[in-house]
Amino acid sequence: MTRRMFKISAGFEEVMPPEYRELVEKGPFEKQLGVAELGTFKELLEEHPLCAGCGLALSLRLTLISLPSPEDTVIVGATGCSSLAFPQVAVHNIHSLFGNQNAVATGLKRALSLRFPDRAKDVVVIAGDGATCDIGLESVMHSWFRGEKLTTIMLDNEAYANTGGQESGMSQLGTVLNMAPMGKKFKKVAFPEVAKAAGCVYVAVAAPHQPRRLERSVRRAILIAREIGPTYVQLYTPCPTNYKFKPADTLSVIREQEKAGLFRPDEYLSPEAAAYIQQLEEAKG
Amino acid sequence: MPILMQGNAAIAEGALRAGVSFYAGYPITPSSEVAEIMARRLPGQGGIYLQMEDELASMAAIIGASLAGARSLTATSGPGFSLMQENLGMAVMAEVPCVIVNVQRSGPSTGLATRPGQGDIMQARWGRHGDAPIIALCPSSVQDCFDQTVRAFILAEKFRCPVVLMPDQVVAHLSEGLELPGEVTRSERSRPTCSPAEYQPFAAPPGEIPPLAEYGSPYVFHVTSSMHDETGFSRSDPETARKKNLHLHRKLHDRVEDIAEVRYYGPDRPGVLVVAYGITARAARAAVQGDEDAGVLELATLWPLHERRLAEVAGSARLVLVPEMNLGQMVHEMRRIVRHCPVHGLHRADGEPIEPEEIARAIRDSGGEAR
Repeated sequence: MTRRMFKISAGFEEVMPPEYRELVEKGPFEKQLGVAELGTFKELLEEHPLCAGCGLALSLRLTLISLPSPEDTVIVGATGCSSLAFPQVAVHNIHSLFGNQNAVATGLKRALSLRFPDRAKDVVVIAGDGATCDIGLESVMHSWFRGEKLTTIMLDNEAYANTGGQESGMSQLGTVLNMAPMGKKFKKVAFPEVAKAAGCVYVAVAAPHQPRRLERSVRRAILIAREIGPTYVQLYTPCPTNYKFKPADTLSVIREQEKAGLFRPDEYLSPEAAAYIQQLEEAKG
Repeated sequence: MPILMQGNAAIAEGALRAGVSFYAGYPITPSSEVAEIMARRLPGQGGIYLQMEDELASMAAIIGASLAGARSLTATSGPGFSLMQENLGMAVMAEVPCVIVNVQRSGPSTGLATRPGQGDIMQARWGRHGDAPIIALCPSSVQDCFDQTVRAFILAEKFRCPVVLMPDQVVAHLSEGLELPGEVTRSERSRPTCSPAEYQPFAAPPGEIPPLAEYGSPYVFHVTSSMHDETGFSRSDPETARKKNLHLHRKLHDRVEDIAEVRYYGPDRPGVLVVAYGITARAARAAVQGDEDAGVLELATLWPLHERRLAEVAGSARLVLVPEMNLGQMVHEMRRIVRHCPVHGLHRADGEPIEPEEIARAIRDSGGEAR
């Protein structure tokens, strides 16, 4: 999992597909690129089968741009809309089951630290709200309790979108969805608070309407997870298909929800994580 | 007048008319319509609808509800059915009536979420650890989805056990005519007639089903997933375990003629017998149409298997053909039951249903054996 893996073997230059050649020549591997450089390099996810205006697809794209070392990253996903996009992502990734992603990631991270004791290997879990907060809660929570050095990113579209729009624990109180025709009966789970209580040393809430903020959250979460402990990023990624708004309105929906107080960007660093980030920033000058 | 309805909707309709009063479930394709209809209609009929956090919880919740006297239901598909197995074993052990719909999709694992399969046949029978016998029904039409759902509730209460209804995705998502009966026979739970002080939740003469009281009634009793005697309290001696395991087995297998429904279409003494279930049984019927030598035996009940009837119908056959949307499950049972002639399988596990022409070709290609 280094840049060497993204090299074309001698004699095969002509037969490799142009997209692959472009990835090798212009991909983000070992280049320290970010959202500021958008448009100047080949992204890790460009084409995908998700719906027009999908907030999750945009967030996934921005998240991949924000990876500090894509060449040393393994992504663990779960069943859901995002699992339809992962086959198109140019980073090692596993589509595990629905809810077991943090347990798979735990085994992976521990084994990578055995095999590559001298090289930081980032294991990043990227899964939906249903996979993270409902069916996968047990494996997510216990990976945090054990202090696994993983980054867990929730793509929160406040619904089971891939199965046709049913409520999830992260849906807002009163929302009418397919399995909640009378409106959801309990409040959106305060998952960032749960993450803090369960041992995450870095917790951030962001959305793709502020790409720089999203990038900072993802980058910090991964860097802190390398050295200190579990981190959690919750990305609000509205779903035009199931929440029935126009695909062009995704970002304005985020702003409206923010105004209404239903979404609030946030960042929490434990004292240890804060000291580490300060140390990194001082080193950078 | 038949009305146009989808298979999953017919299951929901059948359950509502059968008096279901508790539903707990979790979204999964291709079964979600059952939950969505329950969510809309069950609360208005005085029932309880709950979306749970996963299939483990859904299955556990219907066990709890049933012990409090509710007719309870959940619906799922392959991955969820796998997660339910441990709790399903609990329902077998504690003899808790409940109905589980498993709309079969193509596996293994997450597999093809929107495509049909018939790969859960053996899982329904053997998916739990230990010997844990179960009733499994397999509808082949929208009408059958309705009728067999009603029947599932009756069997669950009559035999105090979980009943699994296993339509494949084609049947569950098929829309066709459904004749709604004016009234349906509702399941009745056999309740204790003794005084609460004398009640033993697992005491019955051999082969009989013990009456089941409700939690919350004056009948106070204990239920455990551990081995237990007639009183419901744990005991680990060999005699208790032997009796309990035999009871769980015999209460279904000794009564197979009351449980298992086998449908035969064709000549009196078929030379070629196609044994099929679900949508594949309909393909088989289309395949043998006009063939005076071939018949179709449809397994409307998968478990327990009506072995005597199967052997009887197959008696005249020179060839038994078992088409199924898996790489060979029921065919092994047929080879065990039918010894006098070849039993061929016709298997497909690519998410596509088996076409009538494939079955007709398999009969033709069998050459000498078939003719």
